[in-house]
Amino acid sequence: MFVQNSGRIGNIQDVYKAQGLLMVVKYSLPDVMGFILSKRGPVQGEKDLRDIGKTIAERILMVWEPKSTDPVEVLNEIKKKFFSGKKVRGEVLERFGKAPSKILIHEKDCPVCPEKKGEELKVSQLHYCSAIAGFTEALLNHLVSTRQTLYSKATCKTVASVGSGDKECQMLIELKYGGD
Amino acid sequence: MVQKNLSFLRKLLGKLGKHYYWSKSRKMNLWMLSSMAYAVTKKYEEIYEGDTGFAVDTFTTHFVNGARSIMFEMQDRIRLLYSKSLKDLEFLAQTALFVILGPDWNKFLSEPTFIPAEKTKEGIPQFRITIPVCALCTGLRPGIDFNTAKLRRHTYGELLAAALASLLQAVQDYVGNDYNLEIKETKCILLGDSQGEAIVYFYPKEKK
Repeated sequence: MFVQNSGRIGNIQDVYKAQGLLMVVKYSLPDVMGFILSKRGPVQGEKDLRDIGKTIAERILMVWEPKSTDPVEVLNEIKKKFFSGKKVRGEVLERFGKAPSKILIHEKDCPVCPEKKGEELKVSQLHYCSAIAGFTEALLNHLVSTRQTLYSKATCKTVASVGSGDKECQMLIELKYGGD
Repeated sequence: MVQKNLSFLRKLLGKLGKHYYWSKSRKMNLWMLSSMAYAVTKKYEEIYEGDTGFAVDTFTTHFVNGARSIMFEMQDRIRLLYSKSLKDLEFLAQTALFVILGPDWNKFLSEPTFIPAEKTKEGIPQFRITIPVCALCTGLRPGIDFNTAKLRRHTYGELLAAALASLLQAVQDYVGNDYNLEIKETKCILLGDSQGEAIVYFYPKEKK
């Protein structure tokens, strides 16, 4: 039977072990962005993209967890495992004691944003790859609840996006420690 | 000049080309792709205030538009595999599926089959695509993750078959065959069938 004991269809591992063309996502997203923007406007649209990222994280966590709890390493694990992409660079902006409390992620190989000029979404209020911030935030907070992370809460926000006309994609990760 | 049938040489070039293209192209994990499709469709469902059918239909349209854009970009290379023969569409469809899903494509879809008009009940040429493992429906809980009773024109796992139908239509238009293609999903794993199945119908265009 194709519905497993868990009540879920099929075997997730079959799909998890397979690959697809990244272009499929990149070429479908302009329509998705246009639709969300037209229906929701830029403010709610950005929230929607973050929600989409959170839902994706829930599904990914069904089959995979990062080895590290360090946010930059987590992102690089994701890039390697799911997108065969180049590493991101993390720039520590602030620290809480010795631990980083504010990290700016520099992404020059965004798996979501268009690669070609002229395909950018000309809406500066909405960051094209905001879903990645929602995804990362959900993943890091999952680690907080399931592992002994130094930080007690993670907040992620996309602050620049190639798909919205910026030179590179940037995400700000804020980490809280203890009850501060 | 459009060929009547694909020559051996062109098929050989197609076979070599798909391997080369896959080896050079950037890939992503298929579970990630499936999760993205699910997350976007659920958001559309929220935007349409719980109307799952509209959500699935809208996302299918957006996905097919994306697939068309890929075809547009690749058309100079894939035109080599165009011919007027409907039978040759089997080869073209297999090549396209290889390009999208790599060498493991037939774990997810069986080899697409062309059925000539004389062998169908309706007397309409058909193209059958079966889906033993649906990358989109895998992991879903029927009735929980999607309310299947609310589906309308498209079923959830129809995306890839719909994109393939769009490619077949583009080929028919290019080679000058007068067909309007329509896709119908006849079996769906999410709806309880043991495998998915989509049939593309080649309706002759009405002469004006």
